[in-house]
Amino acid sequence: MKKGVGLFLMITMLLTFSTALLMANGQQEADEGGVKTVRVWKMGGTPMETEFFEEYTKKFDEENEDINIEYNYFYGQIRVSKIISGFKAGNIADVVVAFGQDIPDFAGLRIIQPLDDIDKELVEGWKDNMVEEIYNVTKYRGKQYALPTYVDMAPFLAYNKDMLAEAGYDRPPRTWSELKEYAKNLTTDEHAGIAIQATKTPVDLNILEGIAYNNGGRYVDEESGDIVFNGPGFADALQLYVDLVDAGVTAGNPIEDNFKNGATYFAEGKAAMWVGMSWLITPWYADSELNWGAIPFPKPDKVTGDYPVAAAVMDPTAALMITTQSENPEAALRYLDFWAQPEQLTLWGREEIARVPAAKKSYELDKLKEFWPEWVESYNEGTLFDGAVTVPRFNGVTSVQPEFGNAVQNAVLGVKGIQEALDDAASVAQENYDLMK
Amino acid sequence: MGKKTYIPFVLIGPVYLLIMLFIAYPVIEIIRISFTSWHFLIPNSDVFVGFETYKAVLNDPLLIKIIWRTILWMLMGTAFSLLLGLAIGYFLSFDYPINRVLRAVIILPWILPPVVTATIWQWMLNGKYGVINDILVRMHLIPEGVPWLAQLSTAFIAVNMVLVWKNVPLVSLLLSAAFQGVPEDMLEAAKIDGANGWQRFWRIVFPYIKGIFSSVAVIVSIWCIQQFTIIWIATQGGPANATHILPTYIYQMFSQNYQFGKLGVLSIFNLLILVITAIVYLRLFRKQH
Amino acid sequence: MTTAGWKTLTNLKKKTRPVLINLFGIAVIIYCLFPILWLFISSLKPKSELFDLPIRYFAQNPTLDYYGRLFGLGGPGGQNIVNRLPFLIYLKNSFFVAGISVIIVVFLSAVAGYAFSRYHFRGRNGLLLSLIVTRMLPGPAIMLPVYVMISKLGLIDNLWSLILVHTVFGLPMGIWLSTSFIDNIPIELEEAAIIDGCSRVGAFFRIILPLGWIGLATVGIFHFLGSWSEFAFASILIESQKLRTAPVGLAEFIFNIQSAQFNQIGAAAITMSLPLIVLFMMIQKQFVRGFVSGSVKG
Repeated sequence: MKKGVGLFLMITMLLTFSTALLMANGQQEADEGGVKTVRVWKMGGTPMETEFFEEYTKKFDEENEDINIEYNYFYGQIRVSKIISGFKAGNIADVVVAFGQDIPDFAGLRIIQPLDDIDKELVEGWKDNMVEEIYNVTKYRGKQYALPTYVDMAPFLAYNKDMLAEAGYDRPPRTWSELKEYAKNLTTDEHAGIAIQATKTPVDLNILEGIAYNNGGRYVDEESGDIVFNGPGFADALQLYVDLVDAGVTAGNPIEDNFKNGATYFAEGKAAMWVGMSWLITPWYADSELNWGAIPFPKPDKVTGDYPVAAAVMDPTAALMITTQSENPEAALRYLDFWAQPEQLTLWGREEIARVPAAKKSYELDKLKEFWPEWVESYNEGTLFDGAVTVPRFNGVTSVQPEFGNAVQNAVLGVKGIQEALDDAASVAQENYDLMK
Repeated sequence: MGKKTYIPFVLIGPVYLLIMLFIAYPVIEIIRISFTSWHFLIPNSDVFVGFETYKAVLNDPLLIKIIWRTILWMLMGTAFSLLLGLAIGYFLSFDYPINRVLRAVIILPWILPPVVTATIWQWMLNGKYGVINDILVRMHLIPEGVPWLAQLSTAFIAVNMVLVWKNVPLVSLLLSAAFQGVPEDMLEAAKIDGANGWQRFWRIVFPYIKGIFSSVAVIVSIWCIQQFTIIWIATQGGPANATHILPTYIYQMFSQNYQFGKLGVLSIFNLLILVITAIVYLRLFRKQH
Repeated sequence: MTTAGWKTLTNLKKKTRPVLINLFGIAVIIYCLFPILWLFISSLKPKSELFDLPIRYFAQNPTLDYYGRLFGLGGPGGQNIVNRLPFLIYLKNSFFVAGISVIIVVFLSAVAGYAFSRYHFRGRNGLLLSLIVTRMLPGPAIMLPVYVMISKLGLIDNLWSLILVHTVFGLPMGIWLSTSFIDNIPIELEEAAIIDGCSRVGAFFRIILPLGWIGLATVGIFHFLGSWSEFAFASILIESQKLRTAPVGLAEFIFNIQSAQFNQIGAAAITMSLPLIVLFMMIQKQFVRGFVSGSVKG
């Protein structure tokens, strides 16, 4: 009996001991002789971006002997939990690549620091290479908090040229009523008129927000601090969705089909039109022989919202930020500066064409011209960003979004009237929002 | 062997310490934050407020609804998993030729990571292109395709059935291992008594595995609540909150709402539901020592 | 009832029984297998057939393209990057974590389960219940504290952190199950062995392990699969690509292709699960043998 107890104690001790040993091994090595370590967390992105982000980071690492980069990629879905946990544990990376929409929350929590505070001159210098509207997208309370590499814009409409021709149309729809008519006439046994998405995925909501902003809607009134997504601008945009669903002209079911399914339906010829963001054109279509085009989403017949019409909403989803826990903010900023150079910045436009690039030079590239002639044209005319504003962005926006998503689903499902659904959600959202003040 | 001895403590002690060392801190931390009004975005909100946050939660009709739905979710999921698992597990414990095939394939649903499970079922339950609808329509059970995950009346049940599908294999396997421990001579004796299969099962076989059955019941209840990934990927708690249960809502609080105080309170409720369930099962089924 | 009537009835019973048994077995097989089979069929469908209505139950022009793409083969311009999946690395990591963790859990569960089952000391039930209570906290709620702890131990981005976490969180269930399984082994056998001059430890190895091995193996399988498919901690505690586990790598892949290409998703999921399926096919044989030899029948 004694023998057994002894044996067990020994094994347990062995286990404990080896665990302790391993833990000691796991300790991170300290910086060696002047070499500064910069840790980078990249969150999400298209596969192509993921690929070249890593490749060019390696290049920077090799070119700079005094800086050692530890680069890690995470898929976008765990972005917030990873950043919060890392911050709470004092273990966050020096550089995080996250969304522009995150900036107010992260800045409010002092997770990230203003870049101008590290080296104002350098940061201002980036402007020379960058489209000013995009450069300004990451400004918050007068400070530059991140380096944006591109923006996504909403709303856009993709349309199948063959299907439109078949139905007797020689141009895409220009107004909401035309859109409804098109969608109806484009619906056949083979395919639906249009793919729209109303799941709770943030992207789906951003698209609808873009449509509402087109109609003079706003999410929040900056001056009064009121949540106003229950105003007429939003209500009528949501009405458009409800009308399309009620008319039975949508592909699949907007409540269960998110933007990925919408993309697939359109690419597979199961929908004649598709509402999306500027990334409408992504590599997954490369093997499709679809004859299609894309335009900014049709405009309301009559603007009903109370606020100035915004032609588009935009958000950089790969903005480089420097955290407050960084021990080498200067070295981290050099890494950002590397990405601010045209050589790197024009990767958007040169390799990845699914984004609206931040580099001025990108708009001179043949590949971008080929895929997005309209963008390049309006960029050269100086109108690409006319009336474009950022996606709803304020301290606490992520906590308000699920409520808005509920309202949309309640309305589309017909559980509640549109106004009632939006009012209910707005009052809950207002409570959440007020907490933050 | 009921004599007083230090041996069990020596055997259990180290393991117990290891577990407590790791789990005590999270538990204490959660209890602590449930008594604060901590909102991650609000500085200095991590302060003791007594039962204020509890009151706030109990006054929120949505949260009350979610708490009830969690209980329903667990009861439904557990009942179906156990019923199917009991039948399949008993079946598996016999030496039928077909069981060779069955034993080889039954574990597959459990092997798949939850992300894949949720994605497949999303695809299979799709209102238009889903194969489940196609089969049901062909069998004339429904006139036309139903968007199972996209309407209020069916979404909850549909996701719950996905969970059951994932749970059944391991429940069956655990119970079949238990059934295989039933001594042959007891069965023989029962046969001679002239008991039929059904009677044999309830009078002799089931009482014998009651202990394991109760353990499995507790474990399945825990799984039902812990496997929130399936809901999160399939519906994100939608449509219109219809499939939110406590863990999905807590996840939303963690990653979107940042209301950590409420997160603590909801975690405590989640814990209470499971503790009460466990005690009930143990009272019902545990062998009396 | 006449004797003849009896005979026909029993004959009928004898004839229908195997049919019923096989029908039930087949129904269960279909229930468990169909979704996976459907995933497999979808993975063979070319894009053009994926959304065909009415649904095709067999691919008309089956293709292995989508499997090839996982290796970086084929695929239209630029897509080979999109669809490549370094699954060998992911699988290796998952086997490493689940394998080591399962050994520790089975051993410690057997020992603790033995103590809980054979000694009825004071506070036994309380201790058992408190063990299981630790598994009742919702996952998302403990993510932050556990992350902070692992970070303080300096184990972030280290596979041993996962082994540690999986072991600690797997032990309560493991101990519970082993306790129940050992409870079912008649104590008289052990007492007899001890009377025969066997030590307590000897009895454990000679009686408990051989008789309880199906139970313990089940605990092992249970924990192995739990550890294998664990997602939340694996996604947050591990940072480098080369240390990623299979479920996280697969989730990343699914999220990354950003479209409802179920053929590609299916190919990835099937490839990722294949080694595990093969492994379990092999283990199942052992199970069957153990059953046939009737080693557990007291």
